[in-house]
Amino acid sequence: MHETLSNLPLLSGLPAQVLVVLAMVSAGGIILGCIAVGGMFFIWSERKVAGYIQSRYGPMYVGGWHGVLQSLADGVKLLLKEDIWPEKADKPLWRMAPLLVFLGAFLSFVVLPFGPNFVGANLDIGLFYVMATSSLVVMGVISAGWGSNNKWALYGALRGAAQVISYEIPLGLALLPVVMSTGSLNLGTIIQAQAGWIHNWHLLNPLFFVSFWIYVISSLAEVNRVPFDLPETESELVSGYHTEYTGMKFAFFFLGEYADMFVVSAIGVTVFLGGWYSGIPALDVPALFPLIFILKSFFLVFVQIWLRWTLPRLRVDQLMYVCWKVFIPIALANLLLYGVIRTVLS
Amino acid sequence: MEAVFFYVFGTLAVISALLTVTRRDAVASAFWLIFCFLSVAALFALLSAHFMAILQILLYAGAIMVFFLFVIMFLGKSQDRVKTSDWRVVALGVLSLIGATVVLTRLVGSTHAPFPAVADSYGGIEAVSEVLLTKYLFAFELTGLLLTAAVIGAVYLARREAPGSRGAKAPVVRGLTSQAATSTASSSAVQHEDVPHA
Amino acid sequence: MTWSDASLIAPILWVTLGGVAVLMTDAFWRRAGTGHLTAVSVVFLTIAAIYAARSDASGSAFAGALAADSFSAFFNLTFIVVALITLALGSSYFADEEQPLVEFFPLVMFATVGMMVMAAATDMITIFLGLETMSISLYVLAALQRRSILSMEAGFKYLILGAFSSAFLLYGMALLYGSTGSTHLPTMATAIQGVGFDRDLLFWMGWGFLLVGLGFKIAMVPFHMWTPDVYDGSPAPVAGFMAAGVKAASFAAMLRVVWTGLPALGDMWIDMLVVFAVVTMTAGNLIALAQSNLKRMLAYSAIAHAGYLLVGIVATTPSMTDPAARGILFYLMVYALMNLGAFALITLVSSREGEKVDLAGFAGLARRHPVISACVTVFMLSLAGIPPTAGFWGKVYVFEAAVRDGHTVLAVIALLNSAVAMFYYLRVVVLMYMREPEDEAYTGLDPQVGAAMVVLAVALLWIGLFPGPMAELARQGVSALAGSF
Repeated sequence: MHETLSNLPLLSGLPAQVLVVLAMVSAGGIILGCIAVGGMFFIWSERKVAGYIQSRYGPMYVGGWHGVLQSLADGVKLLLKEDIWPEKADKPLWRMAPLLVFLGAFLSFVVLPFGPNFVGANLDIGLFYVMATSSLVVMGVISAGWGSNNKWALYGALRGAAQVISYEIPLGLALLPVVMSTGSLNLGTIIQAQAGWIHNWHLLNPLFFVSFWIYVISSLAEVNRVPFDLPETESELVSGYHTEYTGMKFAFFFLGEYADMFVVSAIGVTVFLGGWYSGIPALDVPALFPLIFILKSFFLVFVQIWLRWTLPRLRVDQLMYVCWKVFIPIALANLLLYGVIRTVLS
Repeated sequence: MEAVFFYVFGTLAVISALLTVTRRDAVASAFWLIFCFLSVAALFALLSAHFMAILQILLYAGAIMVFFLFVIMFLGKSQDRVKTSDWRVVALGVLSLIGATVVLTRLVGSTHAPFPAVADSYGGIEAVSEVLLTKYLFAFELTGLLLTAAVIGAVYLARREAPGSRGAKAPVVRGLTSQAATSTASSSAVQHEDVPHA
Repeated sequence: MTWSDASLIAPILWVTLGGVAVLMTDAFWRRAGTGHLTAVSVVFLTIAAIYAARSDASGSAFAGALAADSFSAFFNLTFIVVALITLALGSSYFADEEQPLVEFFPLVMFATVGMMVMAAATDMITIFLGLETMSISLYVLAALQRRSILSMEAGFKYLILGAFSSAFLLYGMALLYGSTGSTHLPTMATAIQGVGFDRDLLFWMGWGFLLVGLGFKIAMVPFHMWTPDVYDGSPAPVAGFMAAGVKAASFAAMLRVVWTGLPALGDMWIDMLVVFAVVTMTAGNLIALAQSNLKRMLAYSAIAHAGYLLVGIVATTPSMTDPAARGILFYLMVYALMNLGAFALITLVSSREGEKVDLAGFAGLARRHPVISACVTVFMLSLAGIPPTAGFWGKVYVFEAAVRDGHTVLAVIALLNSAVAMFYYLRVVVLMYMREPEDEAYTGLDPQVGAAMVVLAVALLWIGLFPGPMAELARQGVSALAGSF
């Protein structure tokens, strides 16, 4: 990116080191902007979808058309709210938690491939990297729960951490057959393997069909969405690990959560839904790639929202049962089956 | 540029390691340890061992430390402040530090090993997996067996006894944990006598 | 992996398969009792034994990770015999409980795999992984009786100290790698031929750490502290398995390292090992004198025997062409048999209420159970090294080698130690034969364990009377390594 910057007339005189730093800062700024705008959009759409499902309108007035600026207004409200600090909180941990959660989502955005040349960092191990950044989110959740010094928060945090760590295993196992097929963990390479007509998408390959469903369901648990929203069940735990947070800190949790939703959807699109390809070769022009990628990801985010307003939540023991005794065996068998088929075919 | 990053992350790793062992609050120690792991991951990345860097984050900072924190949180906050003011411990630590420094400074450069220059792909996931599945295939597979044995053991030791079996009412395991939790001061928690059966 | 790689390690693979098969049998066949599981294990161990005995192929497998040669074949047979006897002891011992402890079977199999890997490994990474496979299985085996706090203590102590010693071992290996540039033992040996290694601090620290790590496993003083508690707390069959198997496996790995990896500098560390040998056997024997608990006594005797075996290593270093190297292998095999016998006795007299380990409890055993007592007499005589038992020849081979190698003082100390040791071994015999029984009679002795004891006693007597074939087997085992000197 710093090469691009050095080509700009205004910056061409600056030394390389400065340019690198400048590139870093501007890349960070772009991602931050994406997360903020995207997050606000998702919050708005969540409310509209909820309204539709419940036969009501949802926000209608702020910003004119269908209340599009409602989230912005809410954001301003959050900024202006009093920042309440629990007296007995473990202050450093408590303050660090929203940042860690947000950082996890932020770091994942770096590798998301919006287009062949439109990616923050084209890592060889992109898929692996995304899995690793989600562990930062776990840390944030735990430090929120412990730092708040509140039993609901602690319960929520323990549930959240156990859930995310458990579901990371079927999630990773579900992605492995695709990795074996493409021979790469690079997100761009995985997408390029699905170029051409729509039947090249991994979703429509019968060998990856099971993988896709395991991935989608596990990713719901990974981002604490219904029916796996046990860390923040309002009927049991008030609001889970972010019970004690208000104002800007709460906003960070909120944004981080919605950014995570987008990240898992984008990875799903990358691995199974053809990434930036539209499925019709005629439409695959570079200018449209980011749009196609984002639209597809929005669709998966929409599915998550849709499920939230449709399904009841699981119990804790059911959650663990589903993960360890259903998904992991199925995912392992799926992986083994794929390996055998591949070996036989080759 | 790389040297700058090396010293930055190296210093961070050392400082956070020091903070890990000097904090009195176990949770704070654990978080500093995570920070230390992350700095080490950055050092791996600087060595172009990207795969190791991610593993370091995913496994150590992610999974293992979460279990550390779980244990700390389950044991509760009241017991986790460790007494560290014993001067003998501190003196021993300082002595070991000096000794280790002397030895390590002498060790650096004392090797005779003919280490060949590494290829550009070194540390990348392809290079690592290539070696792992060819040269170290046996070790790789044996690790699987090792983990199987460990899983059997963990499942066995953590399993609740079937209801109705003898001693189900008073499992020794629970007795041990509660003892460990309540009496850290008297370290002779385990006595040499059999636990009475229920 | 190629087919030839797999066929070279066929015994290891069969035992692994057996462990998995036993696990699956238990998981999918609900009515499988300990008898069925024992049968499955025995079938696979027997197949492995056949492969181990018939293997004439030799060579290096898996890109130098391990070697299939007569050395590993010898130890494969040793470990399979040890595992078979352990299973014979354990199948009835653990069936006693209302919930049969079925985890015993796969864990014994996996621990056996770890031991076999240790003996065959020619790469430090493989040694470490074999050691860990063995150790992790044993940590759990030691804690198998979850209702006994002693057993839990044994498992916990073994785990904590074992993990500590593994860290030492791993640090040592890392430093040796840093110093020599390889983890492959023959490559290391070639590297060490170069100049300057006698002053290479990295190398010596690595070797020291490695010695500490292995010293822990063989219960070398001063790294022996765990032995009595762990042997005492573990279920008797497991303690026997530990005493016999872990020691043999760790010595096998040590011999590989010493003979294949570091032969060039032997004369530099041999003095250190002499000191360790003297301290180990003396401390073990003196403390064993004071024990009134049979298991603790056997634990200290195990420490003492580690000392004798170290004498063997001293005697064959650095001039390892010495045919006396066979003495160590012979000794390890015999030691495994006699220790299993001694722990079989404890298995036999144990009851639901706990293990009977008090020495006084054995008074008058001969009146009630003359055959068992006769077997125990053989085990004790063998441990003490009195002819015509096999233990005698083990000591003869090792001590003779020490004298021939110029370590006369060491041999004299070892002999004095053996004399001391005689006292506590024979005390058991005296108690059995010359005291009136104080206790109630031992009823309901398990025929399977009794049969195992008789087999062991006969084997020890047989080897004692005709040591030739076994010594020849041991010589062949050593000869595989002799080529690499």
